[in-house]
Amino acid sequence: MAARVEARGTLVRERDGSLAWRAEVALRDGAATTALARVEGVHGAIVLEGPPAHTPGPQLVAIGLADVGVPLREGLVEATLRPDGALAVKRARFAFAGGALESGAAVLDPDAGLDAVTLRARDLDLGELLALAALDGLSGAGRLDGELPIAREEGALRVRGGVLRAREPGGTIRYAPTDSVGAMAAARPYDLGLAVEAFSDFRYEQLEARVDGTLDAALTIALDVRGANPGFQNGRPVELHLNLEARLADLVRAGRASYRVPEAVEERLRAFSEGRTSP
Amino acid sequence: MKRGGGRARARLGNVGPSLARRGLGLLGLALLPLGLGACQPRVAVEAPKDPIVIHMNVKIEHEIKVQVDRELEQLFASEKDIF
Repeated sequence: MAARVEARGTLVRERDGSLAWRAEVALRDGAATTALARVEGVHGAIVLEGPPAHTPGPQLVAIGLADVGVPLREGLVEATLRPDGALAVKRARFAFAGGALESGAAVLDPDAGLDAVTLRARDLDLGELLALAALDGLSGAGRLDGELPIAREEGALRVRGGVLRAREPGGTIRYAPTDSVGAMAAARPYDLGLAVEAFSDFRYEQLEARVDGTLDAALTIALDVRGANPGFQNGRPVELHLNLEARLADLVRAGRASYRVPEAVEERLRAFSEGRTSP
Repeated sequence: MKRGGGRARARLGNVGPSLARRGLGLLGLALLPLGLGACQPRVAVEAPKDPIVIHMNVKIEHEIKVQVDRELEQLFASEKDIF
């Protein structure tokens, strides 16, 4: 772990002769790597007490990047460090695909790691999700919600039974094939060609994606879409059942986007520097 | 609406049977184009209501492989005029 740290505190000798301490710590640009995740851009003004080291209540920490196989950015985590060393997360929120992934209460045990947590997906952008697949010519628009139950299995984070659903009908999926796929479609007009034509300008009424797999390895996405293309067979209804297998982690580990510390955390750091009480 | 219809019948009754018959004949001529129009063939093509069902398996690696469900492939092969 690496970080820029400023601290001030008090050391008190208790009546029984033991020592107790309390420290206010300003953490800037912290980074850490564990078996399950790589974390960067950690900022926070936190209060620690000990021994053993713990926080007297939930502390707010900003996280620029938590790479759990899929990069989660712009995180805001409210958590308590318990005397037993476990981190009790009260709530956490990360930006993802134009929306957010949020978690309720969860416990991260340093020995056991993360056992299980369900991330709620809010208002994800279908276009950004399709962009993760890095399939040339594929684009879309629409908003999705859902749940992604994540558990640690054999040393890796795994999604089991995750579901994302369209918020409302009226979204679009468009596929403009590359020359090579276009040639394949022309050679197979009765199957692939039909599919390509149907999705040249597809308007969905229902969309559901079931997600399973290991975050840093193969993910399987079973996509069920129902809708129509007004320019294809007079708008005849089309149902697509697509099984997509991809190593998303390899595809989405693009360069880190610029990151700004959230105002709530920045204010706590300013208060620390100026010797004020944190809000 | 009902009152209007009643007045029309009353007027036909007042002009006598011959004029009434002539009036009905004119009405029949006026309706003829409508009758002929109804005999014209429909040109609008209505899309079948049953959906086209597409099953696809896509594995994204360095290259993209697309496999179309064998059952679907057989269906298209056996019913080429389905569309």
